[in-house]
Amino acid sequence: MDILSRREEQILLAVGYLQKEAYLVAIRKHLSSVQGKEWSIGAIHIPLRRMEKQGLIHASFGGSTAERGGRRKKIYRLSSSGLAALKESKRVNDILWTNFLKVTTLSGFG
Amino acid sequence: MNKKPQTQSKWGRKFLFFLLPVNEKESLIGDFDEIFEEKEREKGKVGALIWYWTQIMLLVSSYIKESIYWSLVMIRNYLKIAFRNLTRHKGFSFINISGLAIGMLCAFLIFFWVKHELSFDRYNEKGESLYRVLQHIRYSEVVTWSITQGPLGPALKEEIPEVIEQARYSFTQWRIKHNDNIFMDIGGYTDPSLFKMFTLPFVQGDPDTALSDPRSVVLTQELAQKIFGSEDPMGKIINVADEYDFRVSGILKDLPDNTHFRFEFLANMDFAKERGNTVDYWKNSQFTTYVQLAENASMEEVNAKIYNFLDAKPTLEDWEKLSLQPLFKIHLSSGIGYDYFGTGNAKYIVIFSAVAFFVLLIACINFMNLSTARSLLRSREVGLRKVVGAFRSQLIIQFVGESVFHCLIALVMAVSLGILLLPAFNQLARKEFTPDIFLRPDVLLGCLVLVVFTGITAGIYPAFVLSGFRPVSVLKESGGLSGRRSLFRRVLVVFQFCVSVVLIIGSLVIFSQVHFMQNKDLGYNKENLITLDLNSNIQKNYEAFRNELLENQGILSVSRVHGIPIYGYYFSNSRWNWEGKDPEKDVLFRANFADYDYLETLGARIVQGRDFSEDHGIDASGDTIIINETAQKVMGFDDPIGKRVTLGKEEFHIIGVVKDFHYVSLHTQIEPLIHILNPDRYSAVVARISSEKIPQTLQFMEGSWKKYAGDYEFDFRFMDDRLDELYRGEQRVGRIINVFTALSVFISCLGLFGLASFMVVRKTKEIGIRKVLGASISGIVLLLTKEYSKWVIAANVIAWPLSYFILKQWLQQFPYRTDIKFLIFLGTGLVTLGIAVLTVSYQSIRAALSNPAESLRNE
Repeated sequence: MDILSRREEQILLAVGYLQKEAYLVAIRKHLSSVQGKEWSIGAIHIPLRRMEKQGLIHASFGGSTAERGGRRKKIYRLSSSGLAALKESKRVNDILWTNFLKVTTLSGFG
Repeated sequence: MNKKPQTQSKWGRKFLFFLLPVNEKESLIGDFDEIFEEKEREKGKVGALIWYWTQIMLLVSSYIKESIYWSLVMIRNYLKIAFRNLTRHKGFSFINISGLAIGMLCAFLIFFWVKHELSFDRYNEKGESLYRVLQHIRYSEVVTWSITQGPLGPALKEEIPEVIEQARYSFTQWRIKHNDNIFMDIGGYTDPSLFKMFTLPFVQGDPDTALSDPRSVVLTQELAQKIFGSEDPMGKIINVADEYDFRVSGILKDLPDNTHFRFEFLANMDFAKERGNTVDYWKNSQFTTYVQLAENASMEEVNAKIYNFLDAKPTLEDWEKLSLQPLFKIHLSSGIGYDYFGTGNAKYIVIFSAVAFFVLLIACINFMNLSTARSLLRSREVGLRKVVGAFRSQLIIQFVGESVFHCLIALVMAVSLGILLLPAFNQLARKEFTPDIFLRPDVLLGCLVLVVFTGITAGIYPAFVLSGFRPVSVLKESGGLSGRRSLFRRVLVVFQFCVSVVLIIGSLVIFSQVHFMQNKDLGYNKENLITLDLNSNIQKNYEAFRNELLENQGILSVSRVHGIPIYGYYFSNSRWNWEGKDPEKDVLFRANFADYDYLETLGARIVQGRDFSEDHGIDASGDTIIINETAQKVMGFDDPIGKRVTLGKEEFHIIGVVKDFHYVSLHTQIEPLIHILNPDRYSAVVARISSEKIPQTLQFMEGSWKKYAGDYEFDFRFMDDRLDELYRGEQRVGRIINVFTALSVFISCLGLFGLASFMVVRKTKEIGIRKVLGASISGIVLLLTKEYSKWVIAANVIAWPLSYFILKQWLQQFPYRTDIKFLIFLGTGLVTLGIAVLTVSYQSIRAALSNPAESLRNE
């Protein structure tokens, strides 16, 4: 399995965190608030679609609510392979970070 | 939240709905709406809307990028497949495309011709308001002339308020002398107002003053160049007929070739008057009168006003009426007397357009037929495309596109062939087209329409048939469809051959009519008859000239006449009177002035009485006449010799009756004719020579001519040559039809050839099995040929009555016409059948001879 891209990883993490509320607007809001930068819809939707095709996430339609003019939400959740991909990504990241911290002398990385 | 999202941006949402992926439209629009509301809370409505539309714009641009990318991928694939198909079936593609190209070529050439015929006189800027005055005169029937009385034009301008300008024009021929060079050219006498009415741009000189002096002349550039070479012609003097000097006062741009009148020079009407022409005389019609109507005037109103205009004028006949003819209609209205330059023929425009249409139609049908046949072989490609997800619309676009692509190739071929063949076509049709005609906007548009139309009609049928296949059945069946739809193809083949058969029969009948006219017994002997234009010198010394000629053994007889039996240069009059004439019934008689021995020279047979002869002194008085049999019948004399006939106060005696002979072309019925002896009215010398030693005789004649005629050229013509010229029109039409017939037969055969080869390919296995089971080669050839022969015979059966009907109509215009022989039909049937069988049997024999092991091996 390919290593996730950074954006995919972030979106997957957000999907995992939001649980039952993981639909596009909420994911976007969450990521924007954490990062402090505005994400465009496409920047989230396109990776979501791709990952849905790859089977990293599953999607289902929620019930319709009045706040969206009666339009249903598409709610994503992590699949087992998505979870595995996140684990793999974390493992690689951890090793890379550990190796990096071992040698770095730059301040701020205690 | 209670605000309805629809109010945010109705259009935006529609856009989104269109752009977003199918299965996520709903949720995504919901997402958009939610973010929109959030933005609205943060930044207000305007900011939110700006965000919303920015998003949409981004979406649109990526949507377009995506779709272009994918359609490019598909187009590349389509082109690749189209090209592969083209090269895989080289022969087939060649037949298919070249057939269409030839059809297009025909359509082009005829389109040019028709367009040119329809463009006559359109270059005149004021053309819409210009009219020619026609005169209708009642004799035994009403005849229409394009010539009118001299005073008519000015009178119309004065008395009819709608007529704001008029110009008269009188045709003439001049013998121009300059520095001892002699030029014979045609031109006219006219009013200076002609320049104001017609678009006749001056290169040099001033239109207002050019013809103010009766002895001034305006030349065309071409004539000026011919006479003066590179010298400046303005103000130079030319001599006309050894008598009059004219000063060149203007140079006109050469007339375009689509004009109904042609002239090389124009001189003043006043000069014609000075020379004794009957310009102010109401009893003589000699002038073409053009009028210009006021802008708001209608032709019908003016027509009503001028219809009886001549009743109050001292004209020659009792019943003379006038009407206007729009300038643009002049060229294509035939049957009007005294149209000197010949007119086009609206009938031929229809005939040729029909021929072009049908040849193009045949080519298109062929193209459709072959494309359909071949595309059935591609059913597996279609099946596979469908399996991997092609939409039906995509398949239709693919097949239509492919056939448009083939049409484009055909168009390129047609245009290149057209440029190559233009000179030959010009010669055939007597036109002057240059290759840049293909660049004219209407032609380009025509090309485009042709390609798109043919491409779509040819592609649409296979496109719909093929795209409708069910992939499963197509992929499962080994050969795709067999036999289905062949009824449609059969009908198309029958139709094609129908058109070809009609064209073949048509060209044969036209040919036999021309042949008939050229070989019909004219009532006189046209062989070895020489005509010469009479001039003043010969006229003066005629007796000496004639006697000298007659001394030669090779010259049998010499005479003079007013009108040789070619053109209708005869005087027509209905005032002839005789004993026992029904006073109620006016009959138009033609009169010709003939010298001694004229009828004998011509070889016409005198059935009663005698020819004019010097032996009878009474003939010299000019009171004797010779009538033809038709005239005798009209007059009702059993024994006409010696009967008294009067014309006004003049009295004549009949001395002879000549057997009816064709004194004008065979386009006209023989009418009552009277010959009068009048030495002042002759215009031609005719001589009968012996059929032996013709070159020596001609040399001798030229010697005597030089002696008496001074510097007039010895411009002799043989009568039979001149007669042949009369039927040039029909000959030319015949030749053009021949060419297109050959092409249509060729195209039909190409189509048949293609279909046959296609059928043979499909039946390879059947043939193999038949051979294995013991079928003979001839049996197989017969089997394959029989089917197509049936269709061709069916086509003949349909085409025969059709062409009989059409040609019967065409022949109506000839008073003397050939019969439509059954042999022509039978012959055409056999020939088309023969050609079809030959075409098909080439393929069948090849198939029958092939080794069955080859064809059955791969099962």
